[in-house]
Amino acid sequence: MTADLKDQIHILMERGINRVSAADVAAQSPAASAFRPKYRRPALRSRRAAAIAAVATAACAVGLVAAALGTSASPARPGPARASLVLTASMLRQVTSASRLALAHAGRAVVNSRETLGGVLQQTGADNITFDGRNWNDSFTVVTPAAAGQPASRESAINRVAGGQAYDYFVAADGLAWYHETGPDAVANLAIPDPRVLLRELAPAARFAKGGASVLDGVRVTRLTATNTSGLPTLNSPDIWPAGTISALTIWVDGRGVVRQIMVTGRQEVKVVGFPGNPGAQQRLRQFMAAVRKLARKDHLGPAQAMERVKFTVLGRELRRHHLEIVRSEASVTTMMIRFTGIGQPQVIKAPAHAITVYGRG
Amino acid sequence: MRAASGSIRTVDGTEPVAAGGAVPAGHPDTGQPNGGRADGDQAGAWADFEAFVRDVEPRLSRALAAAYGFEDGRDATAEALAYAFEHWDRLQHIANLPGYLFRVGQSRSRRRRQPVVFAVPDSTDHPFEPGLPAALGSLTQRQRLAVVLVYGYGYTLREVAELTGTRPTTVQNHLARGLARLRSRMGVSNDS
Repeated sequence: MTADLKDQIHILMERGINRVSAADVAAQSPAASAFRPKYRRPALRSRRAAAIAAVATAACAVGLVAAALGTSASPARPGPARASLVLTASMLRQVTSASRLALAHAGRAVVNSRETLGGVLQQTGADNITFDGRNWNDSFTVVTPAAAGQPASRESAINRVAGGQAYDYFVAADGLAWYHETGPDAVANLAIPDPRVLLRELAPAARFAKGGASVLDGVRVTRLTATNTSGLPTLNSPDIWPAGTISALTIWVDGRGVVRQIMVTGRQEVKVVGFPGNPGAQQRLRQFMAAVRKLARKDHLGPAQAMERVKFTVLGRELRRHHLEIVRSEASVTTMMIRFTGIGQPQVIKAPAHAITVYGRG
Repeated sequence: MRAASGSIRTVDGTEPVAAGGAVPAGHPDTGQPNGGRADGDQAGAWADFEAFVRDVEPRLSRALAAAYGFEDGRDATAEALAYAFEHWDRLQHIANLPGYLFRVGQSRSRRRRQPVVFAVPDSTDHPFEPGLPAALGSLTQRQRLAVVLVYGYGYTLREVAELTGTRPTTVQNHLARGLARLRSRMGVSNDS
């Protein structure tokens, strides 16, 4: 660290300032013109388009974002393609606040995830999440392909929070049934993912660039891609799913500035352990990991917690007699696609009519 | 060079605007400063504007980043330069154009009222005190401008006064008070 305060200020500013070039200014000119409607060109529009634009200019800031995103009624400029428009901090804040407002109370989210390790598919998942105020429902399916002698598996369950009570629907001691969990942390233990947390983390420093337009669920949307994923400090936290470093983030935004779809990719280096030259132990390890996964799913545990429990079983004790080694390091890549539907529409989430009351988990 | 397409219309009697799209036409890729000129003049105007941005943008970026933080400062700079881009014919003859655009950037940022943030990506070399960004953020806007531009970048009091539309003695007062407050916040009695 330099000792001189003036040098420290200079370095801080130079590291933080994002330069603006003449080309940036010209490329962002549509955004600038959105703030000054008098520079629009009604002569080239139909009457209807001009009327829509007139309403848009009188509308709120979200309308300005829409115009900047290119989803207004203005015709595309003829001639060569423009450079990508990078969203300014204020535009992104408008997108974030419009989305949070629209999704604040009710809606649905379909989350599809896919996890690979060293390029090999490990697991796919689909969550169908419905929320309305404090009531939540998560109907999910996890598919694990056949690998290393283990058969493929497909497991489905429903986690539900209704009226402050926790319910789940899965195969347990009493077979496939609804269970009413009454433990002290039953609701928290259900751990229903809230995809809206991603909206809070969209940071201007990620420098979202405008991509093409498309139609999603009958709504015209604009694609925005983060060009600087290191500018997403909170998302890079391993506490937020997917774990690891966010390597790609794309959002699709409608004309009101509401996020309709998010695609996020996380990447993490994983140490793969094994018993080189000891096939018997290797088989035990596979059984051990299968037991860990099963317990984690059954009791809604994290991998570390599940491993701690299995470690003290007969299988775990037998495995610990062998010398475990780190075989290699591989990239674990998780891609998640979240699509929001029924935005702001009330959802009906009721307690199941018949549920077996159980205390605690498992 | 692509010529401006469509007709030329005049908005409020002073601003000739090229028709044909959302961006002023003329520049081969991105449009050009407004003017409704012939191709040769448009090329000249674009070159003038590029040279102007190269000259003025560092001062403007530093001042507006000092005033509003890095992200909002960049937005303000981009909006001020976009304003210059669209009003180039009228603005290029203004004597103190950087000062004028600083005011434009200020007025465009006024509506936001966000906390001033000086967040920089994590680095391993730790080139400044961890408390410096927060300490800078705690200064008043005028104090911060004086401290960053005069103290951090070595601008003269007169240069900062011209840019911010104040007197050199005022800048000096803000500098003295800002430095005292900054040192107090960081718990240092001198520069080391």
